[in-house]
Amino acid sequence: MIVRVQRYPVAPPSFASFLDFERDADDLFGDFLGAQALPVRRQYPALDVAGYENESVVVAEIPGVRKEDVKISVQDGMLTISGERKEPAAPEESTWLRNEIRTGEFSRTMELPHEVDVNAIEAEITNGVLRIVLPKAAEARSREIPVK
Amino acid sequence: MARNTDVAVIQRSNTLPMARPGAHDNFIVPPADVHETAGAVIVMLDMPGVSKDSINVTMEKGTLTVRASVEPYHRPNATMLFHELRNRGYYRVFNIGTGVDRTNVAAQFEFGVLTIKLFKTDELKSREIKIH
Repeated sequence: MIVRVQRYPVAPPSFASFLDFERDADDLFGDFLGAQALPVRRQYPALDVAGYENESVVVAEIPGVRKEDVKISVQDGMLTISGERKEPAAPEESTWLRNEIRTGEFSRTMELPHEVDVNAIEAEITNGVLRIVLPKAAEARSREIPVK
Repeated sequence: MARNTDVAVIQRSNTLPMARPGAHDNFIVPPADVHETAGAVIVMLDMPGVSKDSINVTMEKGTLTVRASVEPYHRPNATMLFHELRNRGYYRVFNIGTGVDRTNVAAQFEFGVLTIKLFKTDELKSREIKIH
């Protein structure tokens, strides 16, 4: 029995093939790029904590999140970053071709790296990156001990 | 699908810009949302940490390439206490089919999200056919 395989479906012009090349390129290059090319993150948002002499700086990537949708709290030596990434308003009568960007609520808690002067904590968001400056409390700062 | 188009893909990749980052460059393929409206295709890419000036969007031979570098998040004298963010840039390529106006591409960067709008040419816009 001969089975005819229709490889190219007859369909009106569409953008469904828009991303074919990219997907194929991922097939080709995905292996040797390995996990590096796949943004696999266990917890959101991903964080960096950098230590300096008198402060620590927490950096978190939260693209698409507005300033008013982020909440930062410190309690019992723990820092919590929580918030919500709202769904961007989709244009009217649009069709989704790809949806990889996650939206919704998030929360992440970390232990403070040292005693922090809570009243002097500062935070800002620039280009989707949240930066929280945690000044060391006086007792956490290094000081020289004079020898008597 | 992949098997059928491998040859085409290899030929196409030879035409990609030479500045394609290597595996050692720690670039990230930014996650994307793509949606199609009656008159345009809109691509949104998560690219936190880049400044508007460092984003490079090129349209060449039906290939839309997005490339951007990320400035270091920390001062050189930092001691890393916790380190998850290792990207130094973003790179992603889209194949654009026919029916898109390749000379008219609009891009906007806000809250770390790049939005690219590709306008359809008249021939691809859906229209009602009147029956005489």
